[in-house]
Amino acid sequence: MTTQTTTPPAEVAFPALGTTAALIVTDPAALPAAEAVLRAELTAVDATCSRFRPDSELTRVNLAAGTPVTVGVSFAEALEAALRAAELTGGAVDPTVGRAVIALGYDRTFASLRPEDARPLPVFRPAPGWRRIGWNPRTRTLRLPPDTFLDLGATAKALSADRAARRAAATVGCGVVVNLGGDLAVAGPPPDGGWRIALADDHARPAPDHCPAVTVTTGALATSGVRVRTWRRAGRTVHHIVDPATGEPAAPVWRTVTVAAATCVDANAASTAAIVRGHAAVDWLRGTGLPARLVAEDGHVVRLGGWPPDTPATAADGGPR
Amino acid sequence: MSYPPESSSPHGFDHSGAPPGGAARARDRGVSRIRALTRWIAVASVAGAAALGAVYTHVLPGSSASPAPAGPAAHNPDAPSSSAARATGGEDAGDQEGDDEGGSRTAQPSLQAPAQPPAPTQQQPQSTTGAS
Repeated sequence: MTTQTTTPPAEVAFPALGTTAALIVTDPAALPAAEAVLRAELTAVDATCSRFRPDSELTRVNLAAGTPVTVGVSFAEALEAALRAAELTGGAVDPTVGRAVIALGYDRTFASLRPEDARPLPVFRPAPGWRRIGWNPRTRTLRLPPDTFLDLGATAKALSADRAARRAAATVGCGVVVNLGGDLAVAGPPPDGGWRIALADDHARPAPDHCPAVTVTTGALATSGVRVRTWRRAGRTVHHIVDPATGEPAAPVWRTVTVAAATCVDANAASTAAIVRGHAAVDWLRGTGLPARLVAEDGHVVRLGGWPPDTPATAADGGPR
Repeated sequence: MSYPPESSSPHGFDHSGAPPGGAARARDRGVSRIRALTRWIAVASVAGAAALGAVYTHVLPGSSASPAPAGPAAHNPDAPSSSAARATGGEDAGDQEGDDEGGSRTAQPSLQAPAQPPAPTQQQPQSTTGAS
């Protein structure tokens, strides 16, 4: 079902979660109400899942590693999304990489990170592993292995996109796109022809020309890459996607991986897992059946699961991203 | 010449002081009762242990009803897992019997594809997907 719109969709964008949150609605009159839903969702996920806030629930959980703690409903949902992503990716996306990410120097918000960190590289160690997390969903009791730090960043952001899009569409009754730093979810009736989405290495910097684009009518898109959120450590460029098996940044085989899925959580899990799996990602993604587009370091593009050929769109005009 | 009375005990115990005949039947009945009692105690012990184990499995986080996996499942080159995470056992345990309360109710057994794959377009984009 699509919406026959005569007026163009309305949009708003603002900083959130260390990136950009963008909202588009098919009915301009619905924008304020939809924005309120999105902001409430972002406030909630930040209070729950931020590892940079000393008062977040995630910080409380991490500081209690080794002992059982009871968590709230929202945290439980984010944790279960992370555990599900870990299982369905064979552990390539693992929430117990927190300490490895911190050891790399990503121990504060990215905006306040040292761009050139002269300290030597840390000794890389495998993540403790998600299977060592003690979790009872009935009592919402969580016990992390000692000295384990959870990082729910990727899946929590994707979960927020899913929830905000779904809730906003239910609230305002029109088509909605929620885009959180390039991970986007759509809900409600889309505009005629679907939502048009540009594909870029960096969500904030779409290529000025020959930028491929696709349309989506349901579900979600997520993109992971090793060209953004990078910094220098001991003379080496490092990025934030850590291989749980080694504790090191994933080897740069794919520059960017974009995946379409029914939910942003699934799309994000698959795109992140593909970066971690490197050369093995093609066979693994093929096994999932998800539409995916992988861009190798040399620019070679691999399309899977019915992903369409690249058709350059007219230049993006600085819309929400 | 007199002989000592023949023992009826398989172990050769001397029962010379007990009356023969009915005494043996009484002994057999006693042995049967003791055997039955022993069986009841054994069955009750096993059932009690199982019940307590089940209770602790549900009540204590980190306990488990199944053996622990060997370790992190990272980098399994096989096809994607076919079952979704619902509960984990913790330090020394594997998957735990879970309950639906408190958490996502939308867990699917595999990564879910969209109803329709993306389609190409040459029109001006409305938003951008990319890494962040």
